[in-house]
Amino acid sequence: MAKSKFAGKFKPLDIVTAEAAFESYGKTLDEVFANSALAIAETMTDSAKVKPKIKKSIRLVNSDLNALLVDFLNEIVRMTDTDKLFFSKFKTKITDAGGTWILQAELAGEKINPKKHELRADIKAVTWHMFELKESKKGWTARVVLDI
Amino acid sequence: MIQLPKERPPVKQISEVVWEISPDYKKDEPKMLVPARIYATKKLMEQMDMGIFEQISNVACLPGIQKAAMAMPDAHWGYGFPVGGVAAFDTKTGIISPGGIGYDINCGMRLIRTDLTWDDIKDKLKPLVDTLFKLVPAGVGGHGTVKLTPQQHKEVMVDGAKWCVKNNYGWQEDIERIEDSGAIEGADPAKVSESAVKRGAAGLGTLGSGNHYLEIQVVKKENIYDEKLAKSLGIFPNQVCIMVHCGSRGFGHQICTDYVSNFKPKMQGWGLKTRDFELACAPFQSNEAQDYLAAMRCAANYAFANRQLIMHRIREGFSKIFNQDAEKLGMNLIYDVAHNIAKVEKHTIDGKTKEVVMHRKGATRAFGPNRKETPKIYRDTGQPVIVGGSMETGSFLCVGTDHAELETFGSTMHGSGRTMSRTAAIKQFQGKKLYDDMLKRGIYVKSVSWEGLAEEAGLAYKDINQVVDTMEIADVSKKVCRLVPVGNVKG
Repeated sequence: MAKSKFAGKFKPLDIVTAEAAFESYGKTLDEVFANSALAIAETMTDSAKVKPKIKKSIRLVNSDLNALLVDFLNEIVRMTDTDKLFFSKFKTKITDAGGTWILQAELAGEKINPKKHELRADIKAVTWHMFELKESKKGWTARVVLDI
Repeated sequence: MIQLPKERPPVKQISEVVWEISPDYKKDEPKMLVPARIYATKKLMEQMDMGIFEQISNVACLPGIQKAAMAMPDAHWGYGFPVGGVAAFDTKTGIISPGGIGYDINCGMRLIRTDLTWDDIKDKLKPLVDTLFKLVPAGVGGHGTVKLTPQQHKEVMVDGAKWCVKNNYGWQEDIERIEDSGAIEGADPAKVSESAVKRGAAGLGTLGSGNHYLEIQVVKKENIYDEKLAKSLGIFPNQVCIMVHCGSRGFGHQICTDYVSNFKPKMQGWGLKTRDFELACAPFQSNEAQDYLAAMRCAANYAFANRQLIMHRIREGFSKIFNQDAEKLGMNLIYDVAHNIAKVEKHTIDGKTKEVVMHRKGATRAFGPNRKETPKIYRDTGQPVIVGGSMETGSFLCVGTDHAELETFGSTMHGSGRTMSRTAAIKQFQGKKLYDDMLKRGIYVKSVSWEGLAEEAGLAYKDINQVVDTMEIADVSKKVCRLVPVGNVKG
């Protein structure tokens, strides 16, 4: 999955026998959400080879910030599978609306082409297993386990 | 989040292959209600990862659990339940948990026999595998081979493999050779989200990736363990068979995701507290649980249809290469079993017949000759059990026993079980080198990804012989034959 070029954004974790997992980072919530999305994209393909031709938007609302991230990543998995798209660019904006979190995300990618794109893992789902989203002095860190 | 202790809990050996963790291990709420039981030879027990002990004892804390929470010999750490987990919950007082079934609802195995021998195919192996690779889409983004209208999609959710046969993707005799005749009753498309419907519309007839595959295998004479059983199941020496391993694709994954999200925030209101987020569950009698059950059955039926359609393409591929009808090639289905599923079943517990909702996650139903669910054609042998091994080491055909019902609620292993993580396998093995090594040993693999190939190296798995022997010693399932891989298509 990830190579050192993603240092500071995310790194794969070897913590679950049959699944994939990663830890993602961000100085802000916006960044940790975007870098988690990038980790999802890199689990499925080499995102450097995916041109940002097709644009998609995601808007989610949740009172639970953890659920907002899990739902966001699951939405990317769903869109990849449904629309046969790989994504490579992610812009995210998280707003605290007083007890409710709002996510507005803009994604860009292109149709999956096996001749052009590397086919890595087909993610079944983003799980709650060992899930964590925490803030420290350095910023935000998420830990995510994927069912593949 | 699940915290792993540094040391294993106290485990008592009950018999040669049965080990138990006492309910005393977790006394704080939510406490263990029954023991956690692990089936394994001594060697396999030594290899079990720490996560299994934690996860199976967490399952033992769920309301309504009967007798014991069980881990099969191929168990490994999963999410919520271990993969290889078996649990029965009272339908009146118990729960249903999507994590005890898995995201890939009705992931399962299908085994097809032929009249061909190794000599018949050895010179045509490469074009045969290449043809199957073209006919059966594999890997991320694979397009289904049948485009379903919304109405057809609903029919597939209800009629499963029967829809395929009705639409000429199979033979009438296939139906009685599929668990639940390829269509579980009680499926309700109205309980499936629009997202799942859209995600599933383009997935029918695809293998997927990970450990999913279709494999051409040979039954060597020395690998037939019971000639009478083998003959009854249509198996003979040097025969070529085809095994398929896949599930309900994005359709089932989305249904599981939807209902985990649905259950999670409601659990406090139901008074349910679990030791792991992924054990999200609902009281079986609640409307939410019944909705999930109806949706899960839609995914299960979709998976039966998926494997049916894949078998249809395999028959087409063989027919093309051998220039003969699939019927004349003797390409009959032996059986199709689910290994990620919940079933409402009746079992004898403490001398009384009780209705339970069986959770089998990475575990196969293994009913003996006398269970009413065993198809009539297998009333002399017991229900066939198909055990998928690694692409290097081979797989097994077994049959269930009558004793299985008393021992494990009629459940057994589903595969060989991973011992090495995917990340570790990629570090240790190189896909291209593995491909070359396997080719030298007479196994031709066609994969969409070198990385994906490396993840599935034989050494990443437990010794499948130990796994099937465990359940034979426990008198739960009996070995019929071992199937050796010669050609493999993987996602």
